[in-house]
Amino acid sequence: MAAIGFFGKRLIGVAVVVISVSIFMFVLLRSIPGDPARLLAGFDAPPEVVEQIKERYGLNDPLPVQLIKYLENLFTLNLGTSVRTDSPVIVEILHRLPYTLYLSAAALFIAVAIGVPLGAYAALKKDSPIDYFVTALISVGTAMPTFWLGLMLILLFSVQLKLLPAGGAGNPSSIILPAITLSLPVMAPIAKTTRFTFLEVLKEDFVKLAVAKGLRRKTVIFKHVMKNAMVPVVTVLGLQLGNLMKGAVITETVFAWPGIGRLVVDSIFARDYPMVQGAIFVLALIYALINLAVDSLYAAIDPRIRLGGAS
Amino acid sequence: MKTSKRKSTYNQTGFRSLSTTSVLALVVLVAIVIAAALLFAKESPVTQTTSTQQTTIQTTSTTKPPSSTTSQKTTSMQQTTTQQATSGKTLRVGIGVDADTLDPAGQTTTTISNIIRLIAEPLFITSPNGTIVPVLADSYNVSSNGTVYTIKLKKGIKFQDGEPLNSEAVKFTLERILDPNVKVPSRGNFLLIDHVEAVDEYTVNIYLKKPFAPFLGVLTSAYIIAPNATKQLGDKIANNPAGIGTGPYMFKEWVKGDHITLVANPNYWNGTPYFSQMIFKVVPDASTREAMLLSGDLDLIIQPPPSDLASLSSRGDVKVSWTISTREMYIGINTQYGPLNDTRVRQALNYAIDKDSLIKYVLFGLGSPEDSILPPFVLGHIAVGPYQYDPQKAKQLLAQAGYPNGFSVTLITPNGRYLFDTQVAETIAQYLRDIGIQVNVRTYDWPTYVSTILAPLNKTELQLFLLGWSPSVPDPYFYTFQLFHSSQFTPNGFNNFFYNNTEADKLLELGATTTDPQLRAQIYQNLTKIVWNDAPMIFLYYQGFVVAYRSTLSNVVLFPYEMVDFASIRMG
Repeated sequence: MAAIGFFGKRLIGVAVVVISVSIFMFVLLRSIPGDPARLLAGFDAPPEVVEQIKERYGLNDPLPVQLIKYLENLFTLNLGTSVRTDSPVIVEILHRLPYTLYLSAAALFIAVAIGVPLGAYAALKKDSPIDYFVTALISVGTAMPTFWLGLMLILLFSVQLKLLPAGGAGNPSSIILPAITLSLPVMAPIAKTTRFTFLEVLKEDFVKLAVAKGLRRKTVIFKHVMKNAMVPVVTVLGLQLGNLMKGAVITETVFAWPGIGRLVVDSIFARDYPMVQGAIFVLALIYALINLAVDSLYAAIDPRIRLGGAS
Repeated sequence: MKTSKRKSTYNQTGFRSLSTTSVLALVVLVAIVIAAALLFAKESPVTQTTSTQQTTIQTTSTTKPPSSTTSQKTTSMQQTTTQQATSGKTLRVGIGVDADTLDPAGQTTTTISNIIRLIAEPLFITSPNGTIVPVLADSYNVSSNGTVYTIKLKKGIKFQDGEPLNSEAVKFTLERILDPNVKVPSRGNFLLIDHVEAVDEYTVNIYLKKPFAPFLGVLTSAYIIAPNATKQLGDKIANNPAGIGTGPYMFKEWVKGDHITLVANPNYWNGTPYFSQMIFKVVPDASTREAMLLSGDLDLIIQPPPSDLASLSSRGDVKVSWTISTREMYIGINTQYGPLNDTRVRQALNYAIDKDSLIKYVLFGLGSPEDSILPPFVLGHIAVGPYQYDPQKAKQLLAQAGYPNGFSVTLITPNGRYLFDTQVAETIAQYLRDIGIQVNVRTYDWPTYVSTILAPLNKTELQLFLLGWSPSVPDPYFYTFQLFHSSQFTPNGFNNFFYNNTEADKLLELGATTTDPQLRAQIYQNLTKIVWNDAPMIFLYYQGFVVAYRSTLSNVVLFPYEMVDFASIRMG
């Protein structure tokens, strides 16, 4: 029951966060210079044409009225109409969001599937050439700019070897290069944390005991060490989700991937208020929910962590 | 109690049982993943049509030249579906921006207008050499007072949905453009229309509120659409403009952010289209566009990275083609700001810039020094420049104006809007420093920049600003009236030079109403001399418009107004 209470509280928290983000976004967008109608009509358009566009999207209403309308609409999940495309914002987002979720999931999968074993292996072979190599790789992975890595991969795999498509989402193999590119900046901290916590756990008495009582090396590593080392890794994972979204913007641009990151950037440059607000609302919601899921995962990994305090 | 009990079970068995909490956690995660998967699955049928095709390219391209395999594959595929007279080939084009809307009346970029023009045609178009030639129109006549345009239509043309092209369709199109309930960002050009009259089946009279000489040019941006198809589509025209035009290609699909596909119109009135399919891939990054061209994923790309043009040109499998475009790049001068108020100072600024070096070293050659206030192929162009690079003369002029030690000034520039905009601004600042002017360069993002340059005189902070001017209609009126007429001070028009010259005003008014082309040309030539001498701007260069394409393509014709004649291209 405690868990249900925990989720109830946390869901209210999610709602508060998402609404606060929405209001903040609303204010922020309108406090930066730029006029969506003017940008759409072009700087040579006569004022009356600009006024007509403003009127059409309610941009002439006083700001508090616009904010209240926006919040009212939020409760009915009506995200408004895009100034740029004249389509409902929710439709535009649902076109693009799946691509970003797919790309992020693929990148996260690669990051975990490679990052965790890599870190663990380096820890087990501490101070060996392999360890140095992995540590160096982690530094490179952290420092390497995403767009550069993306272009290098395109040059190698698309232009030289002609193995994979360089951009777009029309082909099942299109996901490979962007997913690898996006995974690297996430993989590096995961590998780093895994290596570090593995080293910590390896020093623990219960590991020595497990080894002493003659358990097989495999059993010790997977059952005793791995399980205990995973909590910090999951924490890092949760933190990296923000990085993933950030990276998605660049990756989507480099690989012409039609995701929501590009949509947000394009919309910001057009000052398409409804679209930016809608996209940020959806992203904030997803981010909050994933964080909630990550928090809950702790309990699954480490039974000493209980949700919602003592019973 | 329950929790602790469960905990002890866990510890005793050492077996990882799932607690209520973790089940809930998993449910949330799984729900998100499933939702994503479902949404994605919904998308995939749309993308699949192209995916099969692209796979064939990918798998075969390792052994054979990619473009030839594509054409063979698509030949067999297409001949069953469309009629036999097309080549069966597919043209894949890389573009930098996606469409906002596919409504022909809602266009804001030349790139997407270039695609729309394949679906729906205007009455006239501007040919590559700058003359206006009829497309759907057969002939036209302007009344002696310049307010009534009588247009005769070509007979026997049908829209893609089977409706006949007639005077009612033209009337419908123009009235829709004027309808305040339809979003038309370029409506400003059409506001002078008083009313439209369908005289008979193939004759339209367009009545203007007052004579407006560039009106024929304005009509080149009005894509004539089928009344019934448009009414039936309603709002859907923005995403699915099916059957609405008379053009050689018909809309097939638009996967937002990814691609727009057109297929040949088998009943096209002006001969069977060559390509059976055209795919426009949205690839925002220029380097990626280039990579996709080199890897064989694309046949033609708009605006490859200028820095790579030399290496692209040297390859055997790729060709580069460029033309001087109608985009004039200049540094606008607020002629009412302090020292900039003096014509000699403004001329000094013009003499201070080495345009040739700027083009050669900063733009990788992609430009041509401005020699007039109108680009070369626009009516009335006369070469009066360029201002030759002469820093000594510039210093002399400054001294004569009373600024032997220069003065300090702010130059603002957008970032990423024009080819190397920031770099160009920095280079110019350096040239101005060479003649003793202290220049402070400030960079803005585009939306902020637009707000800044549109401020009225009493609020403006403008001193020097970098801008590219490329009106949607390449008529001299649109290059001059809004920029130089004293009634057009921002925000009414776009005279943010706050340039005020009575003589220029008179010529600008005359140019707007004189319909005789020869007289008009003379008017604009006279205007050019005045404005050039007054120098309300630092005249820089006409920006280049470049495409790169696989050498299997031929007959790639560029329009100076940053468009490609896709219909004329041949492959193999």
